[in-house]
Amino acid sequence: MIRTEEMLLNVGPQHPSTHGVFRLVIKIDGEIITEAKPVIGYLHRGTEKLAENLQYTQIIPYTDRMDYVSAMTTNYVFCHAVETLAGIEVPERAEYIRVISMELSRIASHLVWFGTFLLDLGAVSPFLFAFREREMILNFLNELTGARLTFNYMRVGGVKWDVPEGWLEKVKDFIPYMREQLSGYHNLAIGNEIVQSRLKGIGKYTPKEAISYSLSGANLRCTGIHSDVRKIKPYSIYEHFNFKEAIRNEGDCWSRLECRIEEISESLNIIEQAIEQFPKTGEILGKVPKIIKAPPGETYVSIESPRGEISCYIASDGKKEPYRVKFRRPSFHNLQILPKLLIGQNISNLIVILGAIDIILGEVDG
Amino acid sequence: MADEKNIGELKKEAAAKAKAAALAKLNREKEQKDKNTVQKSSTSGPVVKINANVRKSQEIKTKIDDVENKKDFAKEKATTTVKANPTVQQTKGSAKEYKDEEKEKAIALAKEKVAAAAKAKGTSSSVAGITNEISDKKIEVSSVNQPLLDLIKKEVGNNLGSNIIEELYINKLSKDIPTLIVNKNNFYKLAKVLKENKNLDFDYFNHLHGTDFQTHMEVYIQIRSYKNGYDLALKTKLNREYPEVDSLTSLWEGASWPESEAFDLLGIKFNGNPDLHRIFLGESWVGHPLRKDYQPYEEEVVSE
Amino acid sequence: MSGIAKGFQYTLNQLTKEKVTYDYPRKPIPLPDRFRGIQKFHPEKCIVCNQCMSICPTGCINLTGKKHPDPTKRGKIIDTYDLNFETCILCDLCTEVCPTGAITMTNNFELAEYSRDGLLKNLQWLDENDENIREESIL
Ligand code: SF4
Ligand code: SF4
Repeated sequence: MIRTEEMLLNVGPQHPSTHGVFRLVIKIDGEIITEAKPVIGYLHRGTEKLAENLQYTQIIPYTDRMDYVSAMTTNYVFCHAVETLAGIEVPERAEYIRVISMELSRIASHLVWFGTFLLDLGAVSPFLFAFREREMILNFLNELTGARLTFNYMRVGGVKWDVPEGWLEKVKDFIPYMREQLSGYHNLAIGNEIVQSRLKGIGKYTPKEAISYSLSGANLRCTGIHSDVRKIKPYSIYEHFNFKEAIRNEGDCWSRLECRIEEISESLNIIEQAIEQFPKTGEILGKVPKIIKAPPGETYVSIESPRGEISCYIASDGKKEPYRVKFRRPSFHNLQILPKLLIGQNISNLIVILGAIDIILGEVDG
Repeated sequence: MADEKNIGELKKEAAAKAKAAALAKLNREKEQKDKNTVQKSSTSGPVVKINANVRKSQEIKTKIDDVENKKDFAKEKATTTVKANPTVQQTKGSAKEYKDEEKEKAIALAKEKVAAAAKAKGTSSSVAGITNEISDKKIEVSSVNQPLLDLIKKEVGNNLGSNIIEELYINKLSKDIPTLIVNKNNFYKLAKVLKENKNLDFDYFNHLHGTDFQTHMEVYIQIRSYKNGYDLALKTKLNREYPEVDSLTSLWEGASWPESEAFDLLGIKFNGNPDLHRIFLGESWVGHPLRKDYQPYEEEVVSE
Repeated sequence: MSGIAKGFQYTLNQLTKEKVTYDYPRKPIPLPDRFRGIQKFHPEKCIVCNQCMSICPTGCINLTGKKHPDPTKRGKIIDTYDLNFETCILCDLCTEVCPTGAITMTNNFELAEYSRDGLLKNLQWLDENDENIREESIL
């Protein structure tokens, strides 16, 4: 007779597979997880408190640091909220630049996820290839904004810089290259039998559970629910583009991988169309006063970030600083389902399930 | 070792190259500037384009528009003096006075900017005034979401009686979202009806947060129905000293962590949440930071 | 097993491709003009308007001005200008608001110091940081 004993195991806060400072206290019976408790807050920087004493423009750099893998979308949601509240019009050219940069950001973010997720599974080389392509995108964004990660690029009413000369052409040339690489990834890893058998049927949940746990993004769409904010509540100029929403029905880790890979190719389609329609001339910054004051009132806007639905709430009392800023951070909501998914699983699936949720700790902790 | 030396040399080389390039550029710039001054003094146009940048030119343009439109003589006078300044300066343009001239130019530029900003301020306040009028909650201008608002009113009235809702309006500033304000004692009841009613079917819990409004605390939630495509905001006011409200976790599991967050940062108690804990700051933290009267524990650590 | 064979084939095909990694620090990294590096300060251009100090979201700029030494000129000139790189996040807002372009970004980014005190840079240091200055400006 083999006797097993329950064991308490601390995963993190410093653990390479959590991609940040995330701690997970699990109880295991043999190899089976019987209890899991996520502990978060190691990266809480009090952005919302800091924002209460800052002007609207000054808050934008702080939003960079929330979702630091795809800072463009966090930049955008904040600017969009202020624009909605103050009724500021954004010139069309600025919106096109915003969309192109956001979609590039989304691709970069999914590539980071793809690489590190397979790295967690034990496949080392996809990581290197994914980062090769990401590096190209970061170079584009560096050329456009002057920074590789913390862009601080969007402004209330527009963007900071116009596109540099020849930049659009370079991005255009990147699209067919990236498509080719995507099919390469299929050969390299996605089509691999070992990868598939590690992912299929793991971390499964039903659409009902997904909705009840407030999941969003690929985590929700992998159960067949149409929830892409770009489609259901179009913002910016997304109505101008023809693209598909990535939907799967299985609700397991494999379908989440497929969703995200499809999102990369849909983002490429959006960028392609945006470059085609790109207005030749026009302003990049609307008519905005130097010191922005939003009228008293409150607003709540949602957009689609690579990790799901990110929203921003602003309550203003008419001063140049907001009264209250609150972000709905998708990773924070998505992580909640983790204990439920882990119970009864083999410990070797822990990192797979955690990785497939795609969390960014800067966003979880706010 | 040899490698390191190599690095040093390479770096030096690169630096020297960069410096040379920068110098060459500076010279080029100077030439350009001199050319510009010559050109300007010969043409002496009304608008001095020191920097052919989009924003700058836009500012100047708007200013001209402003002057023309409003026929504001005082302003016109002011702007002409600002404009005149650089032209006077530029007729000199000797190398010796280059620095001073640069500074003078800079001041002129700054003045222009200030004028533009002042102008912009004027428009902003008028914009705010307009939106203020719109945002007046009582004016019920027909909105795309008016039918939804009526539906909610009807369904809630059928289930709980029509006076349970304290206030309901469409928030024009927030993309026309229907907003309900309810007494905290009826908060859970109303949420349950909104979730379980077949015609409404708000099954998705989107967001929860609290705000300290100094006179009271407010809990704001946003819920969604994916089936019908509805969105709804629900608010309730709490006593600031003892903020307490029923938890929504039994309706939506996803409400648990956001409730913990509001508990941690604002001290709002959610009765019935089995896992209410200080999710970010830890159980030993003193005070609730998002309250407006929060005193940081070690004040010197916090800047401003 | 065909998936695994395909994967190997893909990897083998990459062997003939060009290297994509950087040889930093042996070779300086190529950076675009807009790159936001350590600031360069032009004392002669500064008009002591304090805008950079008030926009800085982390409050890391400290400056003082003094009267213009030439009594015929009005206004102030800069006296001290301290930038604390412990907290500066190189967000570019100070250079964006500066009405005269007195503070600009450069492409230099190497800031490592043995002590935190070394990260507090003064006017002279910022003035001497005059390589790879950003050419494009928002002004
Ligand atoms: S770059 Fe940003 S943080 Fe740094 S000094 Fe300028 S405004 Fe302050
Ligand atoms: S904003 Fe520019 S001119 Fe004004 S004080 Fe700062 S550096 Fe000097």
